Amino acid sequence: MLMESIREVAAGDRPAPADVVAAIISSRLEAKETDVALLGVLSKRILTVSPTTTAVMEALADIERLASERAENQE
Amino acid sequence: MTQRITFETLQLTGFRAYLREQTISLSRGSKPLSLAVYAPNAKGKSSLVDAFEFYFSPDATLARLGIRAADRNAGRVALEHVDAQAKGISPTVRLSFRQGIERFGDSRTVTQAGTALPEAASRVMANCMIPFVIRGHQLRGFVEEQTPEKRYEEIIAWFGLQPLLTIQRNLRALRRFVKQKAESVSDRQERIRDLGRITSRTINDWDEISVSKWLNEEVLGKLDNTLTLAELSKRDRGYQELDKRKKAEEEDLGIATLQRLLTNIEAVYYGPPDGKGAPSGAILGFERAVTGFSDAVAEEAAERAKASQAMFSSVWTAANAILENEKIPIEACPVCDTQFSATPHGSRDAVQRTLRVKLSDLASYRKAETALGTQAQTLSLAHRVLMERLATLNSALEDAGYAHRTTSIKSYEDELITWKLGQPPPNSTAAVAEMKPLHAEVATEKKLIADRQGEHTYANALKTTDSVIELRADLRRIERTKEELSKLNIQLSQQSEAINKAIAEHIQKLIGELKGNINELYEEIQGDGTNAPPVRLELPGEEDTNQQRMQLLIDFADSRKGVVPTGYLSDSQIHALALSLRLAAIRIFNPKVPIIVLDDVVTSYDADHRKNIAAMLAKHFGEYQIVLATHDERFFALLQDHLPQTAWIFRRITDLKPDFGPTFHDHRTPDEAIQAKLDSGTSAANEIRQAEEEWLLDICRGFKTKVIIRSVERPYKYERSELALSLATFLKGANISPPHVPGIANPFLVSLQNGELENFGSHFSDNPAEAGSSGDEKTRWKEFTYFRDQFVCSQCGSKRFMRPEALTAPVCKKCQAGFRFPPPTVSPKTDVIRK
Repeated sequence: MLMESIREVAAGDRPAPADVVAAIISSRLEAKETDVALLGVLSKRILTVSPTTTAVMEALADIERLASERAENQE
Repeated sequence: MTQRITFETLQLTGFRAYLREQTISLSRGSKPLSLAVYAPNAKGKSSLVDAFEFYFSPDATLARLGIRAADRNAGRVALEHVDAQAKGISPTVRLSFRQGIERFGDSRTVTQAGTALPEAASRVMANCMIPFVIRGHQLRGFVEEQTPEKRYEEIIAWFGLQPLLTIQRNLRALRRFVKQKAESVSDRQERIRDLGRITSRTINDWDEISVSKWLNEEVLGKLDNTLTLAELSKRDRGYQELDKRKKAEEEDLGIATLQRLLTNIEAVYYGPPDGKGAPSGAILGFERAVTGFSDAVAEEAAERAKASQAMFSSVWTAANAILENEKIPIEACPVCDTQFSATPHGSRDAVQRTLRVKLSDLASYRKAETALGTQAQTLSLAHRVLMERLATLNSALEDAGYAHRTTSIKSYEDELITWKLGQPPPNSTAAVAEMKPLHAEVATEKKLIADRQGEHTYANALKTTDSVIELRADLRRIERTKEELSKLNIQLSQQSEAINKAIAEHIQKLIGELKGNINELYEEIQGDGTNAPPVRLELPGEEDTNQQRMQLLIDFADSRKGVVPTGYLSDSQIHALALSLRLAAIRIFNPKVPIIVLDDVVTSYDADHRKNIAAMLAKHFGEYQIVLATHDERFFALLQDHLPQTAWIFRRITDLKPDFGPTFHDHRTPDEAIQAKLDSGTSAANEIRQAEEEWLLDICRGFKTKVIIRSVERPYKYERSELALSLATFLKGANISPPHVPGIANPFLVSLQNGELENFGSHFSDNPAEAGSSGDEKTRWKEFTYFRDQFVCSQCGSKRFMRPEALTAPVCKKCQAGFRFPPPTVSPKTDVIRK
């Protein structure tokens, strides 16, 4: 069993990081409790295999904007 | 399926201990061979491993040397042989590889500036994830020295999952920042400071009842104690009454008229009095539009000239479509029906290129034409706006009694009325010069009136009330935003945990494979298995905020499960664990490059563990090409016992020659090299002596002659005279008479035994200090080769002999025929006949 698994892994059957990320986003979208707008921010800025160097600060700005919009909508 | 990459040859020149070029073959035909090299310390064994590390190093150096000489690093300078420069040798490592039937290879030269990774090295590295050069002294780092964070990073790199590591890092940073923002009070504090300023420090924190009371009593009450606000809102009746009274106050005082006048002037032209900020107004808008229109006219004219034949647009477009379709076999131009060869362009391609240029020119022209139309509309609108604002301004100035000061403004207006599209704009300088002092004068007058009213005016009261209402709205917005941020922070934490969990599950699955391999190899090295505590590679628990750590733990005993190895394992066990880990990783992650280079990896092991390592390599790495260097002679012998001779080469370094480099037990100074030197008239005395020693050592080993055990200072190298004496003694004991070399009075072996070769002068003359001539060396070389060639099997011609323990005389290694010298029928044809 172990050697089979090793051969599988060695043969390059591991999913690429992009596949792993895509599966994570998909599963988060299906989860009931997920805040879709927040997941949108994470998908765009963080959950990517090639994030920008300022990804964290951009995501933070997006989240602040989201909070601000939601606060204004309560008025 | 991708073919596996293996080594074919390693060639070193002027690198580390290797001065002269040496090539080590690592294959037989298409079959890769493993290599085990034994040498005592400081004989050049590690230079071989250094060559591999250097060749694959991104920085063209060795980890222990660094790039420059600094602190404890020797720098790249230490890569070249100390005499390489003096001898004019370019320090180089060359590796050649095989992948299936394809061979490839590159050289890498040592330079102070470093050289780029050879193409061949890049190709190999692209196919493997784990560094395959393992050095004993660096091995323990992963177990002992690495932090869990570094270990996690390294294993993630092995799996090629760096992007997931980046995601985890970014998520962690984002969570920290969002939490800080959600908990931040700086925005609120700033607004509370504003409240202090508005209320002259009467109120220092927000309390709506206190603030309302202060506003009603201290601001509105000073004007009219019946005017109050029930709530801090612009919808409140009190507020609306306040607004009305403020407007009435302005009308009474004439402030409203002055303000309207100021607004009208600023709509036409406004230049900030302190020079800060850009001027604005309809005059500037109009003048900018005139410039834009002029530029568009010029652009359109230029493009129109280029596209003067625009009438052919549709024909060209159709023709271009025909030409771009290579399947349409046409010989003539579809525009003019002339044979391509007869057109000025000469070919179908050239015609097509010309058409593309023409069509591009047409496109540019259309763009310029559109831009011109847009600019014309913009200018027309700007003109109309300016005319309307000037009319309003002139009327307002007249109403306010300033008609006598509008001469230039009116002239400017008159010129604008007759202005036509395409003309330059009327000069606005005089009109602007008239408006500036008017604006300043009106603004000053307005301020004087306001100041005369003192602090308690309805205008000031409304301004303060507006500030308080705005401040209240800001504080509420800040509070709500904070609440939303807190909710998002909780959501972010939940999503981060779910994402980290998914990544961890993925990594844990892969680690499971690695862990199983490590345990398997570790148990093999430890022997019976009972001695090998299970190894665990563990990620942090889900609740742990830092998921980017990897714990390496062992279950040492029932009462000591999941403990850190360094606290419980012996030195050799830690070493074994580290070796198992690295080999397991190579086995899993480098399937396309089955290569391992091991340098002194058995330093801390006892005899049993060394045997286990040899057995483990034989059992689990039979399909790998291994290059192994060791100074441990017993381990070397164990490897020879355990590993298949058909797949392995076992070589011993016997000497390190300063003017050559390490020499292997089977090293042979080539006859051709000696002959070439002799032919060129240069001295080959050293090489001849070397060749004699090499041959003597070989023949003595085959004949199993006896030698005196050397002193500890020189245990590995036998002198030529010792070997000659040993051989002579053996032959005498075995009743085998060595042949006489024709022309020489004494037997050749006695000559060797007396060590006469070093001094060719004394060899041939009575004066021991006399230098040997080139002729002497040639003679000696012919004598030696003649003598050497007598040691040949009379049956099969082989020159390799052995002597089984039971026999007193040697036999041919190939055909087992008894050794005997052939009759001396061949003359060495010496030039010098000595008596």
